[in-house]
Amino acid sequence: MSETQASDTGRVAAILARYPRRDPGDLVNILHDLQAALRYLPESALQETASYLGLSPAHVYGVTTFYHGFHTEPRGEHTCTVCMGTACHVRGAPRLLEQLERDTGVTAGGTTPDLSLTVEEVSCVGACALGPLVLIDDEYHGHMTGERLSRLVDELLKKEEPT
Amino acid sequence: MDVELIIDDVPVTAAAGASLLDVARCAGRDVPALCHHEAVPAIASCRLCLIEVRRPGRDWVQLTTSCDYPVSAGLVVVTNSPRIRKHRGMNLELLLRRAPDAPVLRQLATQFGVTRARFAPVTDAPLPDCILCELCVRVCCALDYNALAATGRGHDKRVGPPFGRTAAKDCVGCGSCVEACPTACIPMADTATTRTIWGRTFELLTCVRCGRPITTKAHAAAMAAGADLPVKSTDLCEVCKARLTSERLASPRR
Repeated sequence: MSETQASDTGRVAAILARYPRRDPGDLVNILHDLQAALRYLPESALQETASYLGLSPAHVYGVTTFYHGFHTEPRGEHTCTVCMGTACHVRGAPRLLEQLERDTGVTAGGTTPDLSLTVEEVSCVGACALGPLVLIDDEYHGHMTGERLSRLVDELLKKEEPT
Repeated sequence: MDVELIIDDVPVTAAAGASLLDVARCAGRDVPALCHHEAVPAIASCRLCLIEVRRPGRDWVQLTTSCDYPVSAGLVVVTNSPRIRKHRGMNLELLLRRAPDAPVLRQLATQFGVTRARFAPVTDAPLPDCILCELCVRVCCALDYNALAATGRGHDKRVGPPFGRTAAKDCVGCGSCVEACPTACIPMADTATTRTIWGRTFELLTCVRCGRPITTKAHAAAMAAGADLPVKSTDLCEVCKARLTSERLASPRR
């Protein structure tokens, strides 16, 4: 754990160094970069960002939690997002989500303990003709069935196992 | 520059740019407001200070918040009307949904005749009487301690120390947030020697003469540092400071 923390500190410092102007207006850009590198925004990274930009930790935390896209809890290697928009909903999205939650043992918004997968629901991704739709990482998988979803998630998690 | 305006049919002179709420209150009008504090800029979040304004050259009357409305020449202002009462009542109902048991809201509800509770009240708020006006956060920022944040948004919005924990190291326990809170929803407990606020306990500084608590040691140190004075300069309470001064003035050695 301490090893990953040490490498995190290095990565945070490297990202902050991309913003030599130390302009508080760059806060959201920095948060985006940090999250892209660390998958979530740990407290230590936010504290460091605050002192780098001369902002209070309270302000940085306030901005971070204001946006839905920023996460303060660890995220999985992969994300599986079930669209719960009206079109997907009437075509069985709730059953897909239920199955996914049962298979992975986490509820929507949660992450498996081994940090391999985060399960999410989203209100609508705007691809209603493809419903029910499931996003795996950034890939759209339309006309999803329970069987296919199980297979996709199994493949996703199997890839991780050897390492 | 002073400007002339009319508030409830009475001509009033006020400084241009001043808050209409302050001007109306100075003119003796009773305008309710919860999120307003003279020490910090207005954010018009409680929406109870609604008034009607007609600007010169316009033939319509605008319903607007008065705390963030800068005074200008020729305004015709009404601070109470059926329309104003209707909308204040509606906004009060919405505030009551957030903080159904806050005494100050219940009192306003009686005043406005709001008897209905059409919205299911929030029951899981960490600070039950909080209306999320952010006065605590704004006051803390104005004092440059920056120990509080408004976090999350919508239903999950909260105020408090960052990272969902107890008071951060930035907090000095001055209690200004408690002082500024319009609904008195922030718990602060003082004993003879300690103060507990935002889940953290601070040691109190006591007056070297009478032993009464003055403020927290951390707050005294922060104030002394801010004014570039020795910490010792804060070790007398207000009463003893006054007494000491009069004693010195009366002493024959002078």
